[in-house]
Amino acid sequence: MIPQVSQRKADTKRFVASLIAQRWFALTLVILVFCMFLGLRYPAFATLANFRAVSISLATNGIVGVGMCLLLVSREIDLSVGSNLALGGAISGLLLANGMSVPVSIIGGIFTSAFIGFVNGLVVDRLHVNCLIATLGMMGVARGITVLIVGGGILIINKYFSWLGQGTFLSLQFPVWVMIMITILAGILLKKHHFFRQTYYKGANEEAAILAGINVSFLRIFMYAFTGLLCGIAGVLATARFGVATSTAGFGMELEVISAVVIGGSSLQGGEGNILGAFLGVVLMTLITDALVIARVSVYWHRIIIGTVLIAAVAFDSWMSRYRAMA
Amino acid sequence: MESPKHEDKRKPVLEARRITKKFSGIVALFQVDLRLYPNEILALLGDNGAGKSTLIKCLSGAHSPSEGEIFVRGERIIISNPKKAKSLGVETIYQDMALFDILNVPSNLFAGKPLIRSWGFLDDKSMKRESVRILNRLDIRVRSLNQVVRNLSGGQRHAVSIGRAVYVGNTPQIVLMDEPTAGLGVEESNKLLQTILDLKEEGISVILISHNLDHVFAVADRAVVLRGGKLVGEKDIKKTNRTEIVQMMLGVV
Repeated sequence: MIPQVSQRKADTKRFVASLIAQRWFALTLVILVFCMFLGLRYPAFATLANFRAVSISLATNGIVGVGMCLLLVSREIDLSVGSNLALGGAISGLLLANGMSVPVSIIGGIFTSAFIGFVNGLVVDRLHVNCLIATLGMMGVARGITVLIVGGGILIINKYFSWLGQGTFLSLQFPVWVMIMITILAGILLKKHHFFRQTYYKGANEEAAILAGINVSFLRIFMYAFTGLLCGIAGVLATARFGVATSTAGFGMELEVISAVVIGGSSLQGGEGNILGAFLGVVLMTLITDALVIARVSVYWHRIIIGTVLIAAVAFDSWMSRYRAMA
Repeated sequence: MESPKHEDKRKPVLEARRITKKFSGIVALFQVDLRLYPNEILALLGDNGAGKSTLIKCLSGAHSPSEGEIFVRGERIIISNPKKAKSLGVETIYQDMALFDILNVPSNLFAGKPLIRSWGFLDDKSMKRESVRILNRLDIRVRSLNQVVRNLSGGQRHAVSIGRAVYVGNTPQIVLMDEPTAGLGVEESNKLLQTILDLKEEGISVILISHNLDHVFAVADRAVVLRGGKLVGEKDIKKTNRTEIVQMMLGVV
């Protein structure tokens, strides 16, 4: 062959390999294929009604997923996100039911969850409790407080508040818009802002990060508090959407969000991952859950399948690393 | 505040007085005095466990001394953390180099000292450009800037850590190096020793911990010996020899 042609062939091969190695590309491909398959097999899938049905779950998982991504990149984890979401929603419902205005109720709910996140950060950083244990404990505490406040459930009767969860703009529900804006903002910050980039340094080698002059303590507490804040936003939106603050909101959300973010490229070891990947991971997980519902798979099987998907995805990723070596 | 009486009439650029460091009952350093003068390479010697790394960490902000005082350019300072040390012009290259294995070369070079545009946003393009310049200056070749540092050779990794300490941000006045030639081959060692001499040429003072006396005698001006956490000797390199140094290190007189 003429040398130029074979060189071009080698370059193309390398380019395609590097593209496949990119997490976002592979995920987008899987999502598109999955959507096509579902749309053909189950006509009910490709409808606006179906999208509306999954949109609150997509939105809350997406919003909390941003926080989880930041934590995983910095080699931390938060198991209390579901309980914190419920607590934020419960507080906002409680304030509303006691005659507080809509803005005050919203801020009250969000602030409470942010504070819970802040406490998580303090316990991990100042009391040196392992983050898995600390947030596991908080998961129980926050859920317990929620149950105490909410009892059977707090009904939302305020139409302005309900609009937050149910109103649409350009045929997308408000929570979805909130998720989109938060995702874009976080994506830009993590990629381009020096403070957020520090999460990669901390996750890659915490000791070296300290020696390099990075304030790891502040970063850690900030990320937990920020995740708490996001849980609060998600909790308020969920309560608004369902019109009731329940004690079971966000139950089991941790598993789904962590799986989504890990599939999206964040490693539990820290130092790796990005917001785009996390977002695509959330989309995929939401799609899978939706598919299971549409296909009328028994609810008891959902957890089994989600768990299997996580293991399969990570195993596939190790196999994929040979493509990364080529790139 | 007067320096204690000493033959040398120069003013030290870094001085540690009666530094003591305890770790839950174990005394790692006991009343150690050390002076570093402008434009010199000072070797910090001692057998394993003598306290050399501990002393360096007290000067770099990684540890706080239990007792004692530190003076930078004549002024009493408390070096509370690594960031403070850097702001005073003291940069440190640790034994394990404190690199970020899974991150690439520019990220490692600019760790803790990123180039920032307005609103705190990173200037990645400039950092890439500067990285190329620094790598050339240190005479290192890498396959690609995006290569992760884990895959670099020992000498290349050392060069990256020196690059970060010396050539990124403000030029330091004092560089502390803990076993820089450990694990390096002959050619890489010689390159590194030459780099240390170049630093002295640029007006930077260096404290060098090394087990390799050949390297020490090749570049150092003075040597200070620790044993069991205490200072046991201070000599001009030209006025001493390997035997005397080893005797001080091992306590054989």
